[in-house]
This record gives sequence, structure tokens and C-alpha cells, in this order.
Amino acid sequence: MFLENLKIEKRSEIIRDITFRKGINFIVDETPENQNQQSTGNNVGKTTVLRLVDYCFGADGKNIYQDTEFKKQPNTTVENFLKDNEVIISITLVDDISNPTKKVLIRRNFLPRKRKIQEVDGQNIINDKDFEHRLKEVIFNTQVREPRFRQIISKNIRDEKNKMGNIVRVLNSFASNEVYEALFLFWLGIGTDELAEKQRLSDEKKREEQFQRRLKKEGELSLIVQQLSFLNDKIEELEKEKRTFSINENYSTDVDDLNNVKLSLNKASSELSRLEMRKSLITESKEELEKEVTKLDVSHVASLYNKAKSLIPEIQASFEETVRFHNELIVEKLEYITKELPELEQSIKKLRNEILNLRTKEDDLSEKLQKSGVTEDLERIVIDLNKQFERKGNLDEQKRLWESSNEKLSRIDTELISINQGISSKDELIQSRIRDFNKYFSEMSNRLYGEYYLLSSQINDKGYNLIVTNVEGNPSTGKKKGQIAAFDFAYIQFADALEIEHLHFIMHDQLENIHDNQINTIVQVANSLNAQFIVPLLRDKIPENIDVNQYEILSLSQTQKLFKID
Amino acid sequence: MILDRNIHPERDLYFLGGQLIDYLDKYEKEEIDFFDLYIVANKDQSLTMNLYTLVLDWLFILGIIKKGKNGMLQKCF
Repeated sequence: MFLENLKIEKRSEIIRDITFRKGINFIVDETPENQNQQSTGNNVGKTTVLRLVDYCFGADGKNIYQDTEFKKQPNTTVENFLKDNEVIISITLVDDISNPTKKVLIRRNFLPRKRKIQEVDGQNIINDKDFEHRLKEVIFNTQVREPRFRQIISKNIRDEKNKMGNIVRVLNSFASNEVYEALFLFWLGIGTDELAEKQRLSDEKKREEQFQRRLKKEGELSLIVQQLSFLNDKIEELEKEKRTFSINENYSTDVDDLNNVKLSLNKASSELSRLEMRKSLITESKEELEKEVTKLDVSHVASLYNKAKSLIPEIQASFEETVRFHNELIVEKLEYITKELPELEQSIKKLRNEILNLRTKEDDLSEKLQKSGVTEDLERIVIDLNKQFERKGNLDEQKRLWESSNEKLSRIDTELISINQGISSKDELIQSRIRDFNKYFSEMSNRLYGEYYLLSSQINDKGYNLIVTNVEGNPSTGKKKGQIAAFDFAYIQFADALEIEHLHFIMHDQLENIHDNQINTIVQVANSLNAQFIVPLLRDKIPENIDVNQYEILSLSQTQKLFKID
Repeated sequence: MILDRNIHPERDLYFLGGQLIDYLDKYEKEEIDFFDLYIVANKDQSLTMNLYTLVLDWLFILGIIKKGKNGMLQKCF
């Protein structure tokens, strides 16, 4: 598409109406170079023409009235002028400059929101993204998402540092290799949605990796898994404790009961020992008594009686009586105790049973009391359990994040690999396109400098990259401007030949540094091509042999500035 | 025998009898079991059954106890 016309309107008044021609287009700055310092040719607005075109292509327009270094000090005169007067910039693009069959009209003003005008063929598109997308549609006839329209056209309007200094790496310094790959392949006419997808995936991968770095600060996945299993054990333990925990409401009664049982046990034990002693005594004395009965030895009794008689003369009891007492006592006693013995054994047995029962009761009660705690203990368990559950939830969430992130990354990688394979399979096409392009490029560079430049591709893990090499050695930096021009001209020839949709105009600022000879050649070449080369130049820098008037489309000076403001 | 001139007066019937009288005196009931009294007498010093029965014979002679029912001893004071 060619650039046919640029209009600057202030309400109903037309400030500038610039028509562009095929071939070379000069925007001439009439300020003489040798004039005093106050008028250097700056500020007349020759570069602004380039920027206004760029603005219509969706640039933010700040470079029209703002210094790149001193952003906070806008050229308020220009800004106010543009806003207060509701200035509208419009450009017309045509498919063929001499015989147009298709026209695109783009209009923009500098006002925000409701008063914003941002039109493509009369359709106002307020959203910047939609606007850009629409431009890509009408100009490049494509729906692919990547590269972006602004990226595609950045080599056509070379008004800023990267665009003026680099041949192919025309984007800002933050642009990634994936972005460039999409752009280069688009330029070569191999634009696909896969590239957009690849770029999206690469961005996503970067984000995901960043996210994992953040996750790593909280702990690696393996550590989290370890912590989780530990925590699960602990929770299980606590759950068990909670399950077996029984609140004993009768705690104090149970304590009393236990005390009573112990008391009874004590009593029973001493009773038992008493009975057992009695039993052993009975058994023992039974033997003795039996011995005595069999002997019926009364000699002891006799000698006792005799002695007593000698001591106490008036003894009431007779000797016979004493012997009878003695024997009867023993026999009866014997009879009695043998009778008592089974009874005694019975009660001992009973007592033993009773003691056994009491012991069991005691054990039961003590166990119950030991196990059961009070409500506070249960509360402590529940609080602990809650805390552990909270930590578990936290870790679970982290684990989930890790796993989903890992999954996502591996998916991205798989997709990237398959896309890269797809792109690689296009390698043949890419190489053939580059060969085609080099035909024009080497010829063009030869015409301009007598040197042969070549474009070639490099593949790294991120994708394709394009580089320009000099067949005879490294290109010298001084020739960069001419080199860029050669590239841009060659591209237009190449794109025309392969019928790749492109813009037929090149705007190149600061061409003053190029030597006269080269400017002459550039003018010649530009005029011979089916293209437009639009350059702002100081009149003094134009070589004398060039008929300026023929190519001049706009003349500016200190008294005739672009916006006609004083 | 009742009052020996030996070096262990606590083995004398006389002495032992006195002790038993003392216990009996403190005992509230009229009748006392043969063995219960024996257990009490055995507390202070070990006493063979033989010696114990002799002491009881001595107290009978003195008319301090007599035989009760079921082999019980009955106080006579």
C-alpha cells in the first residue's frame, strides 16, 4: 500500500494537505545551515510529519510533543494546540499510486474518551487494540495475532533510535527472540497463527517459571511432600487421642469411690491376716493339745497343786477338781477348735474373694481416672488438631500449586516442541524465501555501496533469528543508513515479486549523515522502484545536482512551521 | 515352780498369772475365749501352750477363773 495523502485539519480549516508521490519524497527544511544558532532547523516539524503518519498507525503520539528524555516537560504549545483545536490527522492509503482501486482512510485526533476520534474507513474504533487489529486486517489482509501491527510497520517508519540504527532488530530492546521470530517470518511471508501461539506459550512459560521461583522460596515440592506425610501422621495420632478421649463427669465421685474401695481393701486385708494368724495358731496348738491329751500328763498339774498348797494353805479347789478343769479345758478346746477350723477356712476364703473383687474394682477405677481427663484436655487436643489441619491445608495448597505448575510447564514444553518442529519443517520454505530476498538485497547493496550484503537465518533454542552479513567482511557502522535503505528497498522488491502484502513507503529520518554520492544513488534507486521513499532533509544537505523542486512535497521553515503556529 | 529362784522371773507362774489377771481385768466380758486370751498373752512374750495351760491351772486353783461353755473361760472376780 502506498501513502497517498496526509491531512492536518483544525476544525473545519485545513492546515496541511500533503500529497505524496511515487519515488523519492523530500520534506525540505529551508533553514540555512550557516544561520545563527537560534534557528538550527530544529522545531520546524519535519520529523513530525513522520510521527503523524505513525500516529495514524496507532502510535501513542507522545513523541509529537514530548521530549524522550524530559518526559515531564511537554512542548505544551504543540500539545495545547493539538488538543484545544481538536486537530484531526488523516492519511489515505491506496493500493496503487498511479491507478488506485482500493483506498483506506485513517483518521485520529488527540482527545480522550468520548471525544476521541480513531477511524478506519469512517468506522470509529475507540479501543486501541481493536484499532490496531483492524489496521492489520485492512492493510496486510491477515488475521494472525502475532506479530502485532505496530511491529510489522516499524521498519517502514524509521524515526526512532532502534529503527534508525538497526536493520532488522527494529523493536524496542525488551523484545524477545520469539517476538522477532514471528516478525521475521511474517516479513518473509510465512506468518502463521502458530507463531502467535508460540509467543504466547513462551510468555506463559516465563510467567510459570517466575511463579515457580516464588514457590521455591516456600519450599521445594519434595520437602512439602515430606512435611505433608509427617503432618498426616501427627493428625492421625491426635485423631486417635481425640477418639479415645472420654470426658468423665463423675470424676470426683469416682475418686471418692476409689478411696472407699481402698479403705475396704485395707480393712479386709488386716482382717484376713488376723484370721490367718488365728488359723495357723489353731493348727499349731491343735497338735500340741492332742499331744497333751494322749499323754494326759497330770504330773505338772500335781506339782503345781502341791506347791500352791504349800504356799496357800486354804485352797478352795481340790486337786481332782484342778485336774478335771485342766483336762476338760483341753478336750473341749480341742473339740471346739477342730469345729472352728472349717468355719475359719470358709471365712478366709470368702475374705480372699472379697479382696480379689476389691482389687479389680480398684484397678478399674484407677484406670478410668487415669485415662479420663477434664474438658480442658480435650480442648487442647482440638486446638492442636485444628492447627495441624490448617498447616496441612496450607501445604496441600502449595503442593497443588506445584503440581499444577509442573503440569502446565510440561504441557507448554510439549506444545512448544511440536510448534518448533512445525516451524523447522518449514525450514526449506524459509531458506528459499531468504534466498529470494538475498537476490534483491545483494543487488541493491551493490548498487548503493558496491558491496554485497546477505541476509541469513540462525536457529537457536528460542527459534529463528535473522542476521545481515557482509560477504567481504563486517559491515562498517558508517554505512548503516545506506544499508538500511538497501534492505528496505530490497524488501519492497521482494515482497512485490512474491505478492506479500506490505507497505510500499519508507520513511527515514536523519539521512543527513549519508554522503552526497549515496544520496544521489538513493534518489535514483528510489525513483526507479515501485515504492515511496519519504525523507526529511535540510535544504543545504541536498546535493546540488538534484532537482529538489521536482521531489519536494513539503517545505518548512522557521516562519512556515508544520502546524503554522508561531 | 510357782515362784522360782531362777534368773527369769518373767517365766514364773506367779508372774505370768498376774499378767493374765491384768488382761482379764481389762477385758469387758465375763467370758473369754481360750485362744483369744492366749493371743493377748503371747503378745508380750512368747508362751508355749503347755505353760499357758499351767498358768490357767494356777489361776483356777486360786479361784480366779473357772470353766465356761464351749471351752470359754469365765472370770470369777
